[in-house]
Amino acid sequence: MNIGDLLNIFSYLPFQKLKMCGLVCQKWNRIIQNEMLNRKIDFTFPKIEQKIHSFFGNVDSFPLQSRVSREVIRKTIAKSENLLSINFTGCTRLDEFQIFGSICKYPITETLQELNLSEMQEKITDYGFRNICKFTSLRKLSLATCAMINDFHIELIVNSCENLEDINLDNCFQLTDRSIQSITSKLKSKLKKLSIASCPSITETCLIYLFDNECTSLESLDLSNISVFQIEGEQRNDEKKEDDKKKEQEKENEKEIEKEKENESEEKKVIKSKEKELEKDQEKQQEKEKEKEKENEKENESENEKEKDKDKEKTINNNENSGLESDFNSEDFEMQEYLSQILFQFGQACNKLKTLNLNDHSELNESCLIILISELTELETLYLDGCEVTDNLIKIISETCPKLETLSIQDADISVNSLSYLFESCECLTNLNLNYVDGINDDLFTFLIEQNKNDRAISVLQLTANCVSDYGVKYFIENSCWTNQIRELDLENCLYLSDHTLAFLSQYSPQIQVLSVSCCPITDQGLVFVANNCKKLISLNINDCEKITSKSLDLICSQLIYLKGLSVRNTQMEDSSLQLLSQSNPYITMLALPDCKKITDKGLVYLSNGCKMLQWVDCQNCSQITTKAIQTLSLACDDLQMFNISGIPNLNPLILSKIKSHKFNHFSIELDFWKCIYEDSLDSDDVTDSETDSEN
Amino acid sequence: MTELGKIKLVSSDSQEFEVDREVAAMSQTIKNLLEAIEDENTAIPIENVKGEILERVIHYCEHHYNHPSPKNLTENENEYERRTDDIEPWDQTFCNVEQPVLFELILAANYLDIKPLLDVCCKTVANLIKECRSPEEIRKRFKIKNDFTKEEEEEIRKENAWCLDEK
Repeated sequence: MNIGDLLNIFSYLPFQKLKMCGLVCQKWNRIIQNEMLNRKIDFTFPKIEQKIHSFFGNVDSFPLQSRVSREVIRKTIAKSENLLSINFTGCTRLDEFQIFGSICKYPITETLQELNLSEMQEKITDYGFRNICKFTSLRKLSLATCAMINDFHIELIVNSCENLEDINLDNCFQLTDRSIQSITSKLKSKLKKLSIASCPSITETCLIYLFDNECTSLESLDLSNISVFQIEGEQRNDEKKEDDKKKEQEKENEKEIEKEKENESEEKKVIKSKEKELEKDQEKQQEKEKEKEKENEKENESENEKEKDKDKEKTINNNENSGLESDFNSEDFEMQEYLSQILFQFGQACNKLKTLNLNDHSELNESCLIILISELTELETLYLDGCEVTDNLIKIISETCPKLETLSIQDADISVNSLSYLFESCECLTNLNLNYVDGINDDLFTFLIEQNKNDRAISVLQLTANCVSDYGVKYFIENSCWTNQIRELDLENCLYLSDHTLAFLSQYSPQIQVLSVSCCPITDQGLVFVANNCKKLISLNINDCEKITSKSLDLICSQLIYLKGLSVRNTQMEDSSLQLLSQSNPYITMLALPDCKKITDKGLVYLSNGCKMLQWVDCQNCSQITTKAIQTLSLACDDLQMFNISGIPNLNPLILSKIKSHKFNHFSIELDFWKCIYEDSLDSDDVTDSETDSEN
Repeated sequence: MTELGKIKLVSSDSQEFEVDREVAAMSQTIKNLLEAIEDENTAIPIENVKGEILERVIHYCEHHYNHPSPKNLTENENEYERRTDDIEPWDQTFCNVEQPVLFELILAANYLDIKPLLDVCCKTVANLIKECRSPEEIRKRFKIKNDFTKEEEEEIRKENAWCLDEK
């Protein structure tokens, strides 16, 4: 094959896979070294793909610490020319001096287009943010979870990096709407992707900035999990009341701080007081900024105010007419009107939006959502989990968004009939999340088959707690020409399913990669089909399937050799199955065995012999396990980053603490009297039995 | 005499295929050739492509000519993590062939300059590589010989110890 074609193929591979390909033969190595690796470097830990744990249920954001040391960074960067992209996600063993020391030099400062510092948390501070400004060609920047960043830093960065088009600021809790103002006014129509999920101080004002500054090229916006949009109107009316409340709160906080200082040990005292200081500073900053914002907004929203006055007149009229409206309801109405206007203008201006994430915005009512989505004809991905999704909204989505590929409406309250419209119009739909949606039943499958005009194939289908039955699944599988396209299927808590569904699946969809039948009334019989036929499974969740015994578990563990994630909470899992697992599958990375009371030390010892690539192990409540086995497994698995051993009695804390400090990884241990979360990393150069703690 | 609107393609092993002109023009190479030729009846020789492969390529072009994708297919050149999970179902079945055939398709798509076909075949190969969990598995799958010496291999492995998935 010629080099051009090989390069084309390699361009689809993630960094770590490229490194692996470099070991295949000399030719590949040359091409990869010369053409690929020196332009784009990724120092992250080979992370567990989200799809492996997404159906596990109770996995929090997975810790992603990378083992890479400053030596490796230095060497790798020294070898590269024309570096385009560097990814430092989770490289928390480094500090910002090491990072920027190795990259802040010519020609990297000129060529670098993409910089990813997510999950670096408190490691990146003022020094780091100022250094980012040196990379004037930056187009894509991620600072997710870099909690030390504030509005001032953002302003500095966007003023220097004028070509930014993709910015990720998830979890940067200090940021306020001020940052959005800086970003939008400086970058304007260059801005293509913006993610500010879980930033608690961002309000609906960010949308105003987006349309006021004509960010018309916006393709992707993530506003999930932002605290309920605060309404400026209310605040203006209750200004004094809120200021008083704040002062009271501050007083209370100070009292709490004093109390806590008395109660806690010295170390924790220091940490907590620092945190409180940060919070105080944050609050002061927020107050200042809110004042500034109010001044700005008075200028920006003169039009809105005029309309609001009109609305006030309307509401007053309504009040007089109905005679029943309380003050609260009219404010509520006002709030929705206000939001609707903002959403409408935003939708009109940013109508090229392809990806929109509004998870957890229950404060937006149906009409707000309809007003917004009616403008967004280019939508391909839409997340509305926890929002007020109704049949009407589904209809509007069907009519407006023909290019929709991914739709997530967890917790919605719709009738399955409205999905008929959806399937008819959205020919590209491949990912559908209907978890916990009341009203879904077998008709879903009927509509999927009937409305399949252009050979669309669903590949990811999430139906947790839906009322689908074997008949529906059978009908779907037998009548769809593309059941071989299903890759991920979540049937958790579908209480009407049985072994028959597993039989159909294994026969018609043997290519399935991710499957969850947690809490379903299945038995060994059904699982045996899966074990024998669904050889491509990489993630399997059979939590709480209490009838499962080692008869099928043995087969699961020995036959599914590509399994990377397995969750068997509260089943009859035994050591014998773990032995088979260790013999057949050395690559497994996630193993969840909570409440499997039959597991003993023997099982863990088998794992430590054969499954050394485990990164995440959950043995909560496996009461027969002892400290010895925990020690053995921890020492055997270099990559172990999370090991849940809570609820196991009679453990030896001394030995456990030795293990923790020996390995520079994360240990999540919950003992009755002692709670440890993320462990601090050791210095890379002397990783042995030192028990020193490196951080403050 | 070929029908109006159709042209004749001849493979390297002298198999002849009649194709709609518009469909054939999906190949940039053929399109350019057609513009140069005056007599529409002459058969166009496709020298580097065997009949079996050419037949498949024509099948691909005919399907995609008649079923244009509703999706926005413009590849974003600046995407640093290009997706491989968005191959259309029909294409997936089309590419579900023996490896030698797949590689021949890539060569043909290259020679005939049919970008969508080239991309979908390369994506498919990338997916096959992604499934492999070690360099040895890749070698086995694609029948590539390991031409490293032990020392060379050891050195590369050491350098990359911090990110390789295997032990």
